[in-house]
Amino acid sequence: MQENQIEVQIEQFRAIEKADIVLNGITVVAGENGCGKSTLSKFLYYVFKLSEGYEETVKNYFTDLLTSLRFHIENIEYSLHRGQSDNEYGRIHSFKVYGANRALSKIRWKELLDKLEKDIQSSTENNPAFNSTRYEQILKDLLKISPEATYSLPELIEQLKKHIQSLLEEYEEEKKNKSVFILNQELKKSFQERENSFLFSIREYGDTIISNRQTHFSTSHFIRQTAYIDTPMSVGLDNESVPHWKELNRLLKEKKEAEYDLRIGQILSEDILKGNIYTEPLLEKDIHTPFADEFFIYKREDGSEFNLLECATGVKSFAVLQMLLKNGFLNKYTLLIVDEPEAHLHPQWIIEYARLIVLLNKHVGVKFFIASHNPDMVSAIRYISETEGTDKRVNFYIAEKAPDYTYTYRGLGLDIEPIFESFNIALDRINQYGSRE
Amino acid sequence: MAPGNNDLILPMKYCETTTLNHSLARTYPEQVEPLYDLFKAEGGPADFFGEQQAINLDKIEKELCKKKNSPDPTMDLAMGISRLPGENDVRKGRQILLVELKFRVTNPNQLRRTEIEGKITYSRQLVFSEIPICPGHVFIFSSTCLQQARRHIARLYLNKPTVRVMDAQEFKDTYF
Repeated sequence: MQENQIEVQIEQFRAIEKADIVLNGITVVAGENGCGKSTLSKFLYYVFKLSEGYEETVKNYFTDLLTSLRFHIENIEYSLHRGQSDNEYGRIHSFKVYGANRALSKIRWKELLDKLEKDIQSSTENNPAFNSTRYEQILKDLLKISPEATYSLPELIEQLKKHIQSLLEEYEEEKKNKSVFILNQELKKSFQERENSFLFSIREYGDTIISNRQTHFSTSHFIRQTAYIDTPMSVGLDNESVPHWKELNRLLKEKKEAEYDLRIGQILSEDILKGNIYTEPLLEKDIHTPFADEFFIYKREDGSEFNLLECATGVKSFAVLQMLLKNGFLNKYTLLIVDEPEAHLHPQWIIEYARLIVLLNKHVGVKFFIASHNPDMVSAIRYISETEGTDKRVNFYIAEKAPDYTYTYRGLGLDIEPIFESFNIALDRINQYGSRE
Repeated sequence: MAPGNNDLILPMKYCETTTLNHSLARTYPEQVEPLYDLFKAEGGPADFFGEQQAINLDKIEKELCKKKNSPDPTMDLAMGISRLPGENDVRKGRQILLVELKFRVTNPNQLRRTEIEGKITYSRQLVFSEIPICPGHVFIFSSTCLQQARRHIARLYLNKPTVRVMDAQEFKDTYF
């Protein structure tokens, strides 16, 4: 029996009671609004992204931890120099001022902590009005020590130095080990979840590579990069508060001369878009793209050029595929996650998009995870993959109601009847609301 | 309650009397076959039905086309239905139901409205008689693609289809 390339299991996360999803080629999930499809999409995106980019992940984790500490310590320094005209800490503090360079630098920490120790000693000796209690309580809070514990300021500073040193050493150590704890913490941040009691695991050809029941993980060999498209309207929007939009736009702007499947490229350029997309440096910033440095141009086959942001959203849907294909991002190690690809598309173009999904999987090896509400999209993927001989790599799932407003995802293989049964509730509603009887 | 009012709430069910009394059944008695055989010939589940009879329109059309160049497309079968099966009374709401068997279809998206309408139009002409024809024509699909067929046909008819899509079980539950 052929083993599944990638299997993802999630239990008790948001609306998902249980989902056991196979990623062999094209995976399609269907279900009513609120059943957790987007949660599944986001989870897949973050778990593969964070695990593949673990070095970045662990750096972000420790940067956040240490930045927070640095911010508060610099606030202490500001307090100690309050009222002095040369107070170098008298500036508007923002977390964005701090970066990994400051947060993770041993040298900068030594400078800061030595200065703190010296300034506190100086205040104690030279300022009769100096109130050490407040600073003792601040340091106890930062070190998570009970307020009733009796430590002197010098002892607390010493503990702080050891704590920072310990974190920096842990950072160096964790860079070498792939810790599930840190992956989990970053996943929680991505979902802005306080608690993370859900269970998940990822298996590759039957071997568990990532699981929050284990302490360490391995990166996937067969999924090395992911992109998440929840709306084509994100093209050109470098929104800092939506990381996957920012990342998608970064990917779209990558200029690589990559070899790509010419037949699919031709379908996109000649049959569908009737043109090509490229990027151009932004000469003037405008209110719509304050952080962008390039913008996207759609050059039509007749030579006319348009700002892609001003084009129809449906055009953007295909533009994304063209750009990712041409710059080599789409390859056999790519997982492309698309929520409702049918949105903004004329019915004819829904079929074209479905066809491109099948062809990109067949000829390029791209793996797709698709969440869909549309009968044509579901149907087209089902039957076009059959015609192309790739239906063995296609898996459909339907979200079914479980207790307490949650859903369980049932694997259907290639049987799309249950999905259509759920779609056909709409027909009953039309008869119910649209009948004069 | 006035006499006959009960007729208003009785569902239409298979009626052998209406079937056998139709002019086509009397003219072509050899083309009246058990539903068992008709379903089996079209790849459907044969054990749903017993000896209930229906008119094989395909075979009648083949007989008729001996006199013309090529057969016209027809629905597969016609059968009588009535609110009071067994009674040969026009006031009891008897009708002729046209049925198309699509058990061999695996991808209903390939069906075209022109094809469906063509079959319905010609079949209605074929069975035209003193017995009214039921306005709701029945298409029976395999349960493996029933929901897709429902969706596709609803869309062909702008979500207000005059064609009823069923599987064999629903057909049996509805008319028998």
